[in-house]
Amino acid sequence: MIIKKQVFIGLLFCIVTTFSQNKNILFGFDEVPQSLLVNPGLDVNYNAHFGIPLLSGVYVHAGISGFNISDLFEDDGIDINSKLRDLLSQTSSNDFYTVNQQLEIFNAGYRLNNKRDYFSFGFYEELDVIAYHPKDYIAVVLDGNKDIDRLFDASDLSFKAELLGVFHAGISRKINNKLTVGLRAKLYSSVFNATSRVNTGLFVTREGQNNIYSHQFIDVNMEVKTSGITDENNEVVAQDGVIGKFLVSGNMGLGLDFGLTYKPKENIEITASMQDLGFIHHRKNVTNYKIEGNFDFEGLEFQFPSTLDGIDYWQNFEDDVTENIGLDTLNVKYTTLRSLKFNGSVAYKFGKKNRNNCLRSESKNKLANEVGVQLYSIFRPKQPQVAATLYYYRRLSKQLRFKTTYTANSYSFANIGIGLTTHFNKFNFYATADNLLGYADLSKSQNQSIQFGMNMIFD
Amino acid sequence: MLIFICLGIVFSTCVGNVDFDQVDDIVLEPEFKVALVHFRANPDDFVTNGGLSFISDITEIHHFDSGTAQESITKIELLFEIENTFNKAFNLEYQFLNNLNQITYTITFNIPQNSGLLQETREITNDELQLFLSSKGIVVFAEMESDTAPITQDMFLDYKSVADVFLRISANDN
Repeated sequence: MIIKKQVFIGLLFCIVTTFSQNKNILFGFDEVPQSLLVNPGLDVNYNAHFGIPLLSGVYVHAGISGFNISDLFEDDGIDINSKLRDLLSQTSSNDFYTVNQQLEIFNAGYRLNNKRDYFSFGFYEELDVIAYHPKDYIAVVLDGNKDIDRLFDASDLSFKAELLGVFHAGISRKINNKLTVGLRAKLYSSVFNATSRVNTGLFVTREGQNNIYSHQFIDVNMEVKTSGITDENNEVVAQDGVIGKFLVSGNMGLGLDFGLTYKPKENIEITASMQDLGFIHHRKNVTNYKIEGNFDFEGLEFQFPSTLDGIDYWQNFEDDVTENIGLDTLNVKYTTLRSLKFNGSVAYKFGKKNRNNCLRSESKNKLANEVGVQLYSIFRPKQPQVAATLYYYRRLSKQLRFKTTYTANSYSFANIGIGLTTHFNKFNFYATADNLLGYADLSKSQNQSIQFGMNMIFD
Repeated sequence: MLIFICLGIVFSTCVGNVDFDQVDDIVLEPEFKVALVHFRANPDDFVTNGGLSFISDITEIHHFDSGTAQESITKIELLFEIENTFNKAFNLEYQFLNNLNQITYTITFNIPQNSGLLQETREITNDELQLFLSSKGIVVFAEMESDTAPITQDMFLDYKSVADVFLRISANDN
């Protein structure tokens, strides 16, 4: 078999340039309108905003757990096959590769006449992929089934990939000086989806009764569901009318974000939010691939005395496979849940009060420094991923605000991030980058993210 | 200032001492165990023709149809377990046929009477391997030694066959 080097490296980069969705720097960065997408219950201090179309929110984040590029490709004189085997032994089927990318098409908001409500809306594109490490499948490729009684677990296959457009509209309402709550409704339009979450079954080669080997497929139940990729006739439709599918694809869903900001004291702020409590119902261009059953195979059994016509043993074998563990292709509608995300934080503010502020509507009493702790969790197919962040925020000047974070997450315990936002008159530019230490040597990094954008903000 | 900081991050980014050309050195050498043909032949199963008693049957096989598999297979070990409780010896032939039903590879066993459990292996490599991999069918022919010793119904000929298939898959095989 030929493995194309380019394909291999490309695949590897796809895997390694994968992304989580923890916008821990943006969360609580009140000056940036996009933080309303992380917490719709933000205490908004401006009267209107709009994002520069296509440039208001660009977000990419890559992550991989279990190993990094350097583990495999460091020029250390060690045989790569040896390193490959070491990686296989040190990674588990709970390790994962994940990609999240978002591009905001437009985003705007304004304060309603009642003064206490801030209405915001927009549309963004999102690509979200998570694949768990298919450990036993890779073991078959590397070693085959040479070890008698070695069980291969079908559950090691678990992934989700989706591309979608998201319309959203939300309101942040200031209940009183201490409490602000928010709600955002979302309309999802799925461009494509491929999901395989709960697979079960075992494959094993054992000593047989009637032959030396017995190949056994035990309680196999595997399914891959897709929408937007092939039609009912199995014709590929993924490339047809993609732009339109971001808007209305036929595979639509609804979701809600909730959030609140609570300020029990002038220098204490508690925030919490929940994003993407929602679903997508897939009913157009749906194709499901399913294997279910049990099958034992000890080879072709010749049956004597021979008949004149003979027995077509091979055809019988193929028929048995099809009947017992054959691949069924179905067109059954299905529903997927979006990956639910939680954010929460507690902040303590101190230092000089804000007397000289570009954002005139921002509280004149806002303190210059802030330290806090944030918690983040996202529900994933096998188990939630969690992160804890310590952060420090400071207004460096009337135009420049700064936030730095230290995060422990599924990838590492030494993740330092930075966020900056500038305000020149009504123009706002912001940028955040996670895991700065990783930029020193990307090959050793398991997790990188950046986000930036431009807005016009009106007081 | 912010733009300079961002540019600073971008330009200070580097990838350490990695060598992606190591991909060329990746070699996968999986080994697959595959069950082939088995049977148990009892006295009534044998056909007598012209004084010879024999059994014979044929099947298609498509284990090695894939061109990719054929390119990657470096060795096949055939493993046999044969047990003869007849009071007669057997001449057993295991023939592989191509798609024109021509014999491409033959393995012959002389099985003594009351053999007990016999274990045999045949290693197929190099030129023989290509002939073997072009096989589309298997024939088993077992001929019973002709003598007058009486046969009882509890006698049998047990035959089991499997293959250990060794592959070598290299990124550098262009």
